[in-house]
Amino acid sequence: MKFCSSWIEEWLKTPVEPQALAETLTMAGLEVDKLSPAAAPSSGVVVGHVRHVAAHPNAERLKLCEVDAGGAKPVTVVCGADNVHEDAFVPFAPVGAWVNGLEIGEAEIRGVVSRGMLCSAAELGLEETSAGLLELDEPVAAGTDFTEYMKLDDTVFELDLTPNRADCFSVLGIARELAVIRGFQLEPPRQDAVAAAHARRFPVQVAEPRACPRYLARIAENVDSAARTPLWMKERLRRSGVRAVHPVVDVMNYVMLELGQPLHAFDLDKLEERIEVRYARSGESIEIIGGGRLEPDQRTLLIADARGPVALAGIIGGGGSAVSESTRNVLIECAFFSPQAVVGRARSYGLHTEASLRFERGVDRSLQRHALERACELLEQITGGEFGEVEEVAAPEPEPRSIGLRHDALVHRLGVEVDRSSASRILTHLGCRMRPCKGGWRCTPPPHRFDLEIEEDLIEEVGRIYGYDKITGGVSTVAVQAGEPLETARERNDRWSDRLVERGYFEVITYSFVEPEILAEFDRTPPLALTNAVSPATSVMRTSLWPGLLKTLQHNLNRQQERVRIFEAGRCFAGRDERLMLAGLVHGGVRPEQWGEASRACDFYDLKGDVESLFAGSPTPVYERSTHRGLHPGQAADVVLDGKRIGCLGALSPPVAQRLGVSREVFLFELDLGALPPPGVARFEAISPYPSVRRDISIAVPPGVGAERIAACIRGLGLGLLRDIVFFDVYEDEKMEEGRKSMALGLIFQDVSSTLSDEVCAKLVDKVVAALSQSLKINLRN
Amino acid sequence: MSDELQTLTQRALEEVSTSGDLKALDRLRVHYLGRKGLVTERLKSLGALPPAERREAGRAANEAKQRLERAFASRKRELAESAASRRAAQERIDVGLPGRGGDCGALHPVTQTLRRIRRFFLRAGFEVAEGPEIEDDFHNFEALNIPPHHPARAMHDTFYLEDGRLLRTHTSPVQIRVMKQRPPPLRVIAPGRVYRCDSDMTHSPMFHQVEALAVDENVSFADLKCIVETFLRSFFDDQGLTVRFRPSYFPFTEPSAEVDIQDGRGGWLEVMGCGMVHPNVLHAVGCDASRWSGYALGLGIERMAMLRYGVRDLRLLFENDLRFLKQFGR
Repeated sequence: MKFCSSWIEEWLKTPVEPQALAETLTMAGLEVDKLSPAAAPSSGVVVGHVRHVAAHPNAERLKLCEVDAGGAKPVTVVCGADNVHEDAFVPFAPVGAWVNGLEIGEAEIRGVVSRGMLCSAAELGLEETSAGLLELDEPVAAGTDFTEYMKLDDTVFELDLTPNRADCFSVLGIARELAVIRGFQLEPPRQDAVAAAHARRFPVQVAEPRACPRYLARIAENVDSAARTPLWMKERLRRSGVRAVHPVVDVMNYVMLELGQPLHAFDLDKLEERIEVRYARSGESIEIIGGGRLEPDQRTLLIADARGPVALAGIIGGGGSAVSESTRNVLIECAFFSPQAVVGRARSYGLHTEASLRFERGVDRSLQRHALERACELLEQITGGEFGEVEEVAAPEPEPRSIGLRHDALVHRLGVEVDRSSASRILTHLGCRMRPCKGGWRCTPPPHRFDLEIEEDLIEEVGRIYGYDKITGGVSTVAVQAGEPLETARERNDRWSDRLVERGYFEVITYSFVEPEILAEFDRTPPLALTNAVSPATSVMRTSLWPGLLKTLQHNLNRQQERVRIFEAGRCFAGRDERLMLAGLVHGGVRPEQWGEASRACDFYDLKGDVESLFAGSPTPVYERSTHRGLHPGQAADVVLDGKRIGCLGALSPPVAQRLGVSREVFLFELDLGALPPPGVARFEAISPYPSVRRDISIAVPPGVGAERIAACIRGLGLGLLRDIVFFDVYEDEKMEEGRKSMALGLIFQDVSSTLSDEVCAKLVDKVVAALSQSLKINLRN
Repeated sequence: MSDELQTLTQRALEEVSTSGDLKALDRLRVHYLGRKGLVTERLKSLGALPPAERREAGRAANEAKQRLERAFASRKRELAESAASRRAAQERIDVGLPGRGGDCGALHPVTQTLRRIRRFFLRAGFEVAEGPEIEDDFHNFEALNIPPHHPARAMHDTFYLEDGRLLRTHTSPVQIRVMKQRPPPLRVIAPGRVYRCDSDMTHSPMFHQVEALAVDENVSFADLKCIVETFLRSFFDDQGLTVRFRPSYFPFTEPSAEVDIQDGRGGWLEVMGCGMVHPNVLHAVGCDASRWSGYALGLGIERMAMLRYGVRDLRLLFENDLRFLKQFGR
């Protein structure tokens, strides 16, 4: 909501300093978003009286004007505006004046010297564009300072109102609030009711008294649609962000800005028979002001006449019944529509009007008669006209609601000793009627504070006006409680992230919604789709972190980053399931470029080492060949823990890489953190004082048998003295049988109670060799 | 001792002290003390002496031999040390060249900020709670005193799924889930991702919040102010930080406040929203509002990260440019 400080000053009869005003409002919960000057900076501009207009001798479209600017002699000014005429009073910038940051100098225009400039509203920075000179409404002494005359030294406030403070959607509301906080006297402008000149009324039927508890209508006949809206009113509208359009409409808008009550004016001659307030019927349609036809649904409250809809209640009027240049007779509507009847409707039609904004949040339901009188008064001054009797249809007034407020609850909730008399005084100032009772009060809020409904609302008001800054002395001590376990899965997950960081990975955070086409490369199950995605590239919920990592890789490759090691920990979504996943991606050198070491690109085993490092100290998973659709068929493994697949790793599938347009040496892993067992506790095992013994064997391995199975086969023997198995060489050579490869492994034996003899070790090795030969067809190489 | 032995010893000592390297020294040792060395021969020849002289001569010869052995050992040490020193003097490397394998990654600044916030609240006795990111209308709005068509809904540009569920617009629904799960007293924080369909320089369709909730008997607005001020001062490492509470409105708290901190130039920066848990919220989770009261606060992690690290553009946080991320290694 926008307003200007000069308008507020008029209501408070006291000058206010804009910065201080902004501070006061902000600290009262009415956040000031922006302060701006009411006009672009100008100096030296005065009121000029155009005495004589003549044609320019050398230019058809220009005129020579004799302007009285208050000096001894009139000045000659060249002017191109169409609306310049003799006896006009207009802003005039003499030589030496500054207008909107430009200094005015003498200028020769087509052979005639022009000593100054007659200004339009646009040139003065008052409007974006204007058709001609800004002409004043009344004779003003030539030479009068224009800025002062127009009160341009004014500040425009933009308030970001919270939904509960509908009462502040007006100059009245802001002034009322300031009066309470700063102790100013609130002095509304004098107002005189316009007596009825005739008894004519337009019939009103309210079919929905709950949606429209009060509807006032008054006829104004013989209004002058050609009248000019006075400059002061236009200026106030402008400074409040409302465009002047038609004198009648301008008055309606002015009263809305002033009092917070939206009004609507119909062209009476275009209404048929009567006004009905009712919900829309199926098949009805209406053309709204500003163009566009819409079909209101049956939850939309309408203003209709005998023929059909003429307005969407509380939102916008119909084009067919709107006032225009030819309007002679007007019907003014001033109604109270309940917020429940209006809320959400405007939005559902893509509309957002000043009226809907106010009605949705709530209007003071006692305000309608007053606002209507104010509108009639202004209308009579500007457009003239004869006013009829007021037609009013009103449901019975609800009982004013009274709210109990306990003093001890107030003190407990705020945590500060606000004494009884202060609390009572604050609420009284806010317009509440306070009836003391045992332990507190019964409080009846004023009609404009319909947001006050329960005790907490009153406590908040007391705290707000008392000042949040004065509430101190709270405590944050906590009674001892067990809280969460000292070791949680979250801490393990954090450690894993830290471990990846230590291994050179950078953590990234990517969007939880991804491009469906990319996701489909990794997962064919249909993902959850957003109905209102920002873009197709972020339209489905991810089921894997890989699309995000690959996009990040692309971004960085496009920015000369040759070596990329990234990971993300975040949720993936499938059906009703949300799983916390950890995924990583590596590309490029295994180490950053180094002066003393040949560079080497990352391979599967580098990535696997990183994954293995995560499981160090926890149950060790096994790695089984994977058929994941996004991974290289020959270089991919599933990570299996206790028989359950908890993730996978491998090289990005070359065809997928091709389709996604990424370089192909990309390695990826992904683990389901939620599937991991809770972190366990390390168990100490005695360290043997006796030396360990290592026996190396070299074996020929048939195709299809991998290290995992060899190790499993050896461990399966249950040799108590076997401490470890080390694979220390793997190679293939042409001397070997087709498809076989050679592997060298070290068997490490150790006893806790003696030094192992050669004979014992030899027997153990024999057992291993026999088992390998029997179950895996592996034979010993010489 | 015979003059002869004395002369021999003297000569040997001189030769030892002037020998230039370990090889020469070893030759000398063989020459004098080897199996057929001059001193050894001397000792062997003692047997030929008459018994009366043998004792005295033997003592002298042994003494000479030990003296020589000590001289050899000490000279050997000297020569070895100087050889090591000479070798060391030649083994100079350029210590300014970069080391090997010292590269480290970094946690995302949002994660670092989240952990910092979490550390504070864990120390203050709060627990960490989590809730789903895909929520239903009840938990995200209704139970938080935001009925359908409440104007506050317009402030939350919500992403919807085809099944009617939505992406949570704030972490506040976790309040509801926690309070429904267990009775007060409770103190929890709920960090996590939240979503709003809004995207420009200061808005991202996804960002992170931390929600803190304390419910107990007699929790007051003053207590809320205390934890917020303590938190902000420790987060920004500034005990003198000026914090201001500005009345505001959230449907799920009352009284409500926005919290601002003062920057170096006297301006105010909004950092969080907070308030006393609204009785309607307590009712919605079946909590007796006449007995329990509580406070809740919610802050944007990105905002805190941007203030802490001096990042101006929110979008940088989600581009994941390595040149950006590398600046946050610790």
